[in-house]
Amino acid sequence: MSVTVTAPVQDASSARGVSLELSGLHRSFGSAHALAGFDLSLAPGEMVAMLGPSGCGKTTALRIVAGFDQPDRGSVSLDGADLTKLPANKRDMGMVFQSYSLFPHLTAGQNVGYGPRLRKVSSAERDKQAKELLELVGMGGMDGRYPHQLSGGQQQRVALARALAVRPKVLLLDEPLSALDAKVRLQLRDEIRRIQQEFGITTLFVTHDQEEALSMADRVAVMRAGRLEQCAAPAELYDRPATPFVAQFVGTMNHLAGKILEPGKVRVAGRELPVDGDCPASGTDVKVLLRPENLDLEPIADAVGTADLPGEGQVLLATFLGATTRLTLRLGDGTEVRADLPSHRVAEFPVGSSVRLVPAPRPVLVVEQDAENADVSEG
Amino acid sequence: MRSASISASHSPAAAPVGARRPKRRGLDLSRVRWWRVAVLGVLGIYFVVPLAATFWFTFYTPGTHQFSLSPYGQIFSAKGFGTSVLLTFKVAVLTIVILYALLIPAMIAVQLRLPKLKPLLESLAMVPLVLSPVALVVGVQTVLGWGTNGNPGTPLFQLAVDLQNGNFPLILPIIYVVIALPFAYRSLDAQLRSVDLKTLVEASRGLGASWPVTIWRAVLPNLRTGLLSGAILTLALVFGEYTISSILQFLPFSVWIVQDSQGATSGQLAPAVSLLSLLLSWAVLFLVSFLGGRRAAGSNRSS
Repeated sequence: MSVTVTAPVQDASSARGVSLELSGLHRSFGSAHALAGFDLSLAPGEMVAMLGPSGCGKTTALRIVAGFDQPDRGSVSLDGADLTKLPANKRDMGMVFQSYSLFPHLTAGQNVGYGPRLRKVSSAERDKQAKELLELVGMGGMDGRYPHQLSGGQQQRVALARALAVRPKVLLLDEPLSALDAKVRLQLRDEIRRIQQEFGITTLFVTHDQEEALSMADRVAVMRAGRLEQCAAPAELYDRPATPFVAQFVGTMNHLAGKILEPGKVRVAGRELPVDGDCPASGTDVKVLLRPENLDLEPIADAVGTADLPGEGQVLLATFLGATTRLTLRLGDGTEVRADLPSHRVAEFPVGSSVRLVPAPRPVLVVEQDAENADVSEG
Repeated sequence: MRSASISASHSPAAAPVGARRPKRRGLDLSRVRWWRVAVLGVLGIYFVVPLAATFWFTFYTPGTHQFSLSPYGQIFSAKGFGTSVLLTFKVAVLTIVILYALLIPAMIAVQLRLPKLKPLLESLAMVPLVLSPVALVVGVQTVLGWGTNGNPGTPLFQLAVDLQNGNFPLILPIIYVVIALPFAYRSLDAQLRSVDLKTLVEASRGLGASWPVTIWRAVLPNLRTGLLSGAILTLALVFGEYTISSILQFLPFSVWIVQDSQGATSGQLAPAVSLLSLLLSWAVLFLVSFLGGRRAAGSNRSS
């Protein structure tokens, strides 16, 4: 399937070296603010994923870049040239849509040739290009098929080839994998990334699937209520989230009750941990955000433990994930907590046994109780 | 997507019914069959008897007890036949052109940009259904009268005269556009619903196509079935319309049939012509659905 063909049609140098800048974008629909001052810049050849809960404005931002929507304020520029007022057909961008968007009355080859045909490329040249591009996306020999003869995944492959055929300066992907089944999605994810890197084309990508965003993109832009929360490389986003919202939105996160002891120090599960980022005043009750892999456990002897000290609880469920096993616990105060342990250690903590949480001694993010509730309702 | 819509409108219910029949036969044979025969029989009587009677009338003369197909031979030599058919055809084609030139951009614009106006457009398009042709034509006459009753030489007078030019009365297609509006709207609307217009348009625009090119290359080909059926309905409507053209004293096909039968030596010519025109319209219908079907079949094959 994944035949490796070096980017044939494009002279790669023309595709490289385009930077994209979105600055101060505002867009309202009636009283709803889809974008409220959104900024994002993409380096040449970079792939950035816009990630966020539904209604956070990510699709609106992409449509504004494509020219299908106009911002109320703010601008979009390519390599410093403002194209905010330029109509969609003059922007030289390739877009792959969420829904199947191939022209139903044209074959796969004709679909790929649609853009070149508008640019007065000769019919022979178009056919050659279409064949090469279809080969590149793993659809070699299918140029005579009509869209209704293709599966969803195949249609999206053709749509990608069609977008690339116009030698776009920027590639825009609007949840291109969301309509596909899981297996095809994984396959196509890798191939889109491979092709994007091969062409070195600046790519902006919308998704609500964090796994997709983290695995494909150079950087992930987490959005919330029309603004950028954080834009960072996947590993940084996961390990050093800039805001509690990002921390909770990306990956699995536990919320443990804690109390601020002194500036920069929080007490949680019977231990003192340094606070990362903003720290409320001493004495404040907070929620401490801890990843499952940063929680260790130790068994409590039955004679001592009644499991009601802070950070003590019972194992409810063990979910085998391969190398690790996720244990779901219920603490004395009713909170559910997930902890990931190496699978070989799980025998120490059978379901129903009493355990004590041991948070890894690393800086943690904390949220005031009220603030956290607001976040959750918004997400 | 298109193949689905075509199979829905052309090779229709036939397939599922045929597929289901064996099950039913085993279940409840006699009853189902009886109802079928009854329904088909009633339909047959309703539609076939008048046609058969007309046909009988055209070739049997009771007074002389003679059978003759000569009325059919007379049609083509009858005075005015060719002219009236040609006139009607031209009027029909112009009607379809004006109708689509108005309707297609309006419907696309409403669908994409002003969905709130859709109920308004829909009800406007239905108004002609409740409009009596006689009332309509009286209104048209009044308006034309403003010109023709005025001073010769004024632009308004000239306009009214040109609109009623007997060789090609432009006023007819203008009125027929209004009358055909509901039918064309319905056909197009049904087709538009089966197409993801927004995505098609955006895909085309994003690839660099201007609006006119987008409509021509990406939208219209996917509305073909709806456009065809709307055009056929309009054609049939124009060929059958009598009230308006006769009151305005033009001589299209339908009026010619009636006038000729009044002036002809035998009354057999008019029904003969009617039957023939019916057969012709059927032929057109079959031809169009055959062409549409072949295109669909062609698109199923990889070429």
